[in-house]
Amino acid sequence: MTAHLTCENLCLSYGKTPVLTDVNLDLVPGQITAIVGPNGCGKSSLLRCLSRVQSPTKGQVLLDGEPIHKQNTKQVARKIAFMPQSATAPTGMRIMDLVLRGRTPHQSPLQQWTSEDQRIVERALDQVGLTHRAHELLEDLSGGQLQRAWIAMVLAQDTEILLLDEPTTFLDLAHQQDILKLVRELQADRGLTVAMVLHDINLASRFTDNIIALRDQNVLCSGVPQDVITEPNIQDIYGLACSVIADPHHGLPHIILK
Amino acid sequence: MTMLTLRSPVFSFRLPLRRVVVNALLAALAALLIVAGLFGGSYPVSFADFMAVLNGTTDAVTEMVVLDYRLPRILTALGVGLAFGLAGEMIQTLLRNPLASPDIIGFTAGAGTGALFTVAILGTTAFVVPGAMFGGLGAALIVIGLSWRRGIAPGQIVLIGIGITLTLGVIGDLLMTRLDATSAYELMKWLVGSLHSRSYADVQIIWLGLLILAPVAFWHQFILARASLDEPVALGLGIALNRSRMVTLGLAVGLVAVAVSAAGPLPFVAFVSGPIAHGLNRASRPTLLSAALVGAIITLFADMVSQTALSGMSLPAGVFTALIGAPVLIWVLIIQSRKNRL
Repeated sequence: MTAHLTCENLCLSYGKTPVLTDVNLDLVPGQITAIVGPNGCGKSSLLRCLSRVQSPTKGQVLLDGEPIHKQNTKQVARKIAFMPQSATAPTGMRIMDLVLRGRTPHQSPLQQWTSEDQRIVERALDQVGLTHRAHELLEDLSGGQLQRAWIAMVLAQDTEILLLDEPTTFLDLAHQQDILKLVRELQADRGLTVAMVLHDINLASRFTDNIIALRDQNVLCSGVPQDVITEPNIQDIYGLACSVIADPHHGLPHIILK
Repeated sequence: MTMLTLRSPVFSFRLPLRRVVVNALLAALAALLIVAGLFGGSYPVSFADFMAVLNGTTDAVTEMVVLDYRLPRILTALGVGLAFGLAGEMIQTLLRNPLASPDIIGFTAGAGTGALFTVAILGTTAFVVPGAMFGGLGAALIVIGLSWRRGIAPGQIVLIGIGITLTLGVIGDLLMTRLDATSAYELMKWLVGSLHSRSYADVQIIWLGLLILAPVAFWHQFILARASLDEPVALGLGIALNRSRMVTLGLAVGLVAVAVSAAGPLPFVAFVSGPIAHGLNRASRPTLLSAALVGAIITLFADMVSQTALSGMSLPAGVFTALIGAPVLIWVLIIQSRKNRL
């Protein structure tokens, strides 16, 4: 039984600027959902609301049917891990320190390094391929390594739901692929529910089960990649003319810009 | 980097070996300064004399020098140094800015002005501690309130805090004009930060404060280390961010207030302790114990120098902590502006 995250009539505005208007969605448990849309359409804000890092102006996010903002935040952190976009760490931190921070909801001032912590931290480091760099300073890492260190941190949180804001930025093609494959493995092996903001529609099509497309503060369309990635939809979402073909390896929709 | 793993059913920690060594060396250095302060100086006291004092079997002069003069002075210096070190490290860590220490952003000045206010207006020293508490808390609230930008804004806090520190300096001067020359002179020395002729009343204030606040601070270190992550990261990890920020600021104001009540503001002790401890440990902050020990060492050292440097003249220890701190401030400003973080 995995945790279930939904939202009802979610509205968010910063001052008088509306960011999200009446968003309703249901993250399918045990599946990967991509959130796509043009810049400034509210993708990141939606993810921040879902992870209860941002309080909505109206409406609510429900975790297992209960309003998330009313639940104990430490208990929520054991079910949902959130990786924000371009986070920075305090100076002097090493990869190991950062990944161990992911264990916070399972720790206490007296229990900061249980054998369980060690096992899961080592597993997370291994999953992102940073085991041999664990003691390096974060400020000495390349953008791609840093991104993988942050991903290891949320993996160490050992939750049923992963919310990732642009996990593939700063990564080259090979590493983008590695991260998305890893997410796919985690979902297949442990039944994780994943929602992530992605910019690359073709990667979203290839590695996710559902796509939610946002436009103008609201969900424009959602469903399996075949239903969402269509020529008229891409025109509506981005205002771009394109052709959608079936990719030769998997038969999934693939867009080619005109 | 060697790590020590400490595990039992009730606790488990992962400690860098380096931190253990650094803390042991710092503690040894502090102990050395305490011994030097007790036995050295213009009236040398031997260990045998000291034991005799404790047993009550010595001459009146030695007893007076040790019990009435040196012991309270050293105990005050030690406690005040620990308190400033802790307070500085906590706020610098929380705001992730070395300039954000209580003596730069107005907390210390607030406590000083609060204490001065009770003496100058009420004409009694009975309310120095509550005065310092209210002054420190008031200054903290004003600085945080004015710099509030949908949350705590570290950069704003530094700039507004410096402004508040300067303003409080002027208010202090104005209060001073209400006093006669002798009391003004004494208060002036206290306002610079002095360990001269400390009494057991001062020892009581600072050690009682430490006894209550320091354990909470060390317990809070776990949360502080996480509250200093980016806001969405900390919230995502299940940290009650507003509460932990308030606890951190409250603890720092409390520590600063008892320290100021006991020995005056002692400029720069809170400011330099954290960065020095951080440099020695080469680890991410907070390292509360190291910072507290560095604070104690600086204060004990400044006190020793203030007694020996210029014979006959008793300069307040605050002059020497400032002498140590000012170059560090300039160094931090240069580093910060190179990183474009100011």
